[in-house]
Amino acid sequence: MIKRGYWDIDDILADEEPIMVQVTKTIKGAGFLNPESGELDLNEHTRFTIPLWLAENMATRELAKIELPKIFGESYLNILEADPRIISLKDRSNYFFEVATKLNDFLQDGKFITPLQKVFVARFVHLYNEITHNSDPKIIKKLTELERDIYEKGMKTTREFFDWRERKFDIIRSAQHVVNNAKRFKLK
Amino acid sequence: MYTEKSKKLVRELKTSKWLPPYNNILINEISTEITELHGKLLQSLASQNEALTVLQAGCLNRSKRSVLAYLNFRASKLETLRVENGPSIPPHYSHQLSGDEIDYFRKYSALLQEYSQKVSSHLDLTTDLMPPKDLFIEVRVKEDIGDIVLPVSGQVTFKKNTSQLVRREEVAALIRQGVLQQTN
Repeated sequence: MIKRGYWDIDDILADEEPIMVQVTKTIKGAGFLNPESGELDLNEHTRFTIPLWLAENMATRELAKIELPKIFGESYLNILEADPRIISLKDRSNYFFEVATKLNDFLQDGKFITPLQKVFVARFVHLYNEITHNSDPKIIKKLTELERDIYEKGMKTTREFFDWRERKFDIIRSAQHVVNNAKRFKLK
Repeated sequence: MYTEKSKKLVRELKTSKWLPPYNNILINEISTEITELHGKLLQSLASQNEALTVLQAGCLNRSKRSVLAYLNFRASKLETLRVENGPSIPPHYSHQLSGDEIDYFRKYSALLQEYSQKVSSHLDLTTDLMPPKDLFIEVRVKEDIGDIVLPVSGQVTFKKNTSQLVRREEVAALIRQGVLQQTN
């Protein structure tokens, strides 16, 4: 879907999603990764949660096995497929689709990725309708970070399109964030 | 866990509408953490514990990446601010920034001006790409700013809630700052 770079804040935060892994090989002195156990070494067959980037790191070197997170489990996917549009993906993970694409490289049975593509497209179409027909801004609450980005850009483009159609393209607008923040500053 | 602090640092960027205050304390703590981890890394290298070395190096690079991305994100926000808001930092923004960042903003601003002057003496890169329809525009004054001197029109008085016809390019920066509003 989207490949993001070294400097990208969203990419870094998506990599922080907690993932359950199972250690396949005892590592001496790596107990610091699992402070709850209180042991010095990381023993074989230990199950614990670590951030996604570390899980990727361990999985590529066959030190641990990644388990499929619950949010991509079958029961969750069924709910999601029933009606993708109304469900709040933000409650599950703010970086739902990013995490899914990253995990797909590491899990053998990538069964969960095909329904997710459909879900994404369905949500995207819904989002497109919302943007072009200027409806409820409450929709933002249900969107993941990626969808919110699409939403904001879509709103901006739509506004610019209407300006162009009305021959208002040479109107200078204020930089919105500067104005908003100035108001808050004055209240203090 | 070693990388908890850097995670906190990056999360901070998401919490505010523009930029959060520069977190000097946390950055210093992370840099101490990195140095400490580097010491341990050298030890495990000496003891030939490969798996552990890989994990420690991973943590170290992760912290480094987080801090660098934090600084880079802030710097790019400053560049956007220069283009949108002109060569001055709004007062409610300047105390979110570190001394170095304010310095960066000034130098960036100077570079931009230097480049503009090299290309042509009247060029301003930050204005619109579209040619305007009229030389003059009507503006409504949103804040009382009193008398100001503009390069071509000379002295102009802006009183709150009045409308005036002014030269477009002279007031573009004021409109972007939200002091004036274009009405036609």
